[in-house]
Amino acid sequence: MIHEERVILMTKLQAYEDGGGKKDIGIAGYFRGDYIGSQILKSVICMTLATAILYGGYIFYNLEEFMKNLYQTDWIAYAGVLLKRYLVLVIVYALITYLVYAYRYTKAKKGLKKYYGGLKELNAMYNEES
Amino acid sequence: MTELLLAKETLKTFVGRYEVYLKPLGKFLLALIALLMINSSTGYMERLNSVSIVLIVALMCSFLPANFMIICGAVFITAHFYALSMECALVALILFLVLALVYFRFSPRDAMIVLLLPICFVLKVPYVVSICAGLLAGPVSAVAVVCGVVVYYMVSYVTGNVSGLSALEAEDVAGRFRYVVDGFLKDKTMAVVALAFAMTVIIVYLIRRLSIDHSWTIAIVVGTITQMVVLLLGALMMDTDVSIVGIIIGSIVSAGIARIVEFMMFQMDYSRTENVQFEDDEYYYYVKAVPKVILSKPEKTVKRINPQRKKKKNH
Repeated sequence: MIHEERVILMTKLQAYEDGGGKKDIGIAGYFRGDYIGSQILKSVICMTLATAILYGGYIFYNLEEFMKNLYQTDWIAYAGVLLKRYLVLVIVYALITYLVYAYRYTKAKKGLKKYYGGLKELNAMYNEES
Repeated sequence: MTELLLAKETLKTFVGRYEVYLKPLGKFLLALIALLMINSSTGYMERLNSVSIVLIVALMCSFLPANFMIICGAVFITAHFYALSMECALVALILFLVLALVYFRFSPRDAMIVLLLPICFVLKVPYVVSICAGLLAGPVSAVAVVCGVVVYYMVSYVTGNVSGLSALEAEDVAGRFRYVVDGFLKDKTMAVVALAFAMTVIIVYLIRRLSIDHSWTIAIVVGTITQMVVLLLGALMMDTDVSIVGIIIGSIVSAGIARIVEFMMFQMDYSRTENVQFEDDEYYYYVKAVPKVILSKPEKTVKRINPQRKKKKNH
């Protein structure tokens, strides 16, 4: 016979798992520091690529000027300015990443706590029946 | 009102029953409209203009994740621009790559806004996207809305300046690149529209989160008015290229569409229909769970009780 309460609980648990639950399980598999650290690393890589693309576009945009002042420009000082801007961008982006992923980690942990509570309840229902 | 509620119930049952087919159909239609619009507004690469290619790609989009649609749109635009000039394709490619690397790494779901916004621009109701983003997403989606505005103005600038672009020498690659970048980044209209849309998203989000009755409707009305005022002020102060009548009519139509969205997403809540499969020792379960419509009322806390005043009797 189908146990109505059990079906409702199982549906809720499965719906959570199909929704954000699988992601949450993946997130909670890491330690907090490892998870946020890996996301910051990914962000730094993404930002580095994006900055490289933007700088490439900027150089292409000012190509004529660069060619004109090829021998007059202090390229080391110029590279230093670009590097500083890149570092500021990366630090700000890493900070945003930290905030976003710290929030997501906490949210995932909370969701999973509720999910495991539901699983325990389900287990108790089965034990009651048998 | 009774008829409307009845229609709502019928629609709810219909969507709940055929959701498995309606979802891919919706994705197919959206992809088809987006790709046809890209082809009609750009259409420089003849091979991509073929209906069979558009149909095949739209069909693929119907069963692949929604973000595939956005990738297809970006590829179509870049390919069309490449057929026009390599510099335009380069600008588009840089823009799409930076968007993907910097913003959509955080919230890939918001990428759909970038696809929907240009479509709504063509349909003359772009204002609906910013209002709906505020209603259905968070304040961060203001960034996605701004990205959508930039993509639309980049495409419209290139398609509107083909003759100017072809007048430049083909050998002057950097000059042509500069021409495209300068043209759309220094567009005042784009800046005003982006500001108005971003403000609308944030205002609509803040109001609809308030614990007041009819917060969604108030958010739509206030958002629409804010958007209209900022756009009109921008048009007057910065002498931007916008039609004032178009803004007013478009905003009113957008508010109407947003009201329908509110009716569908907030009251019906069919978007939370769950189709789940699981099993235990005895059965396999194939369950469809449709959540009930629950309208939460704001909680009232009693802070002070006024003593009852006795009425004076007039003799």
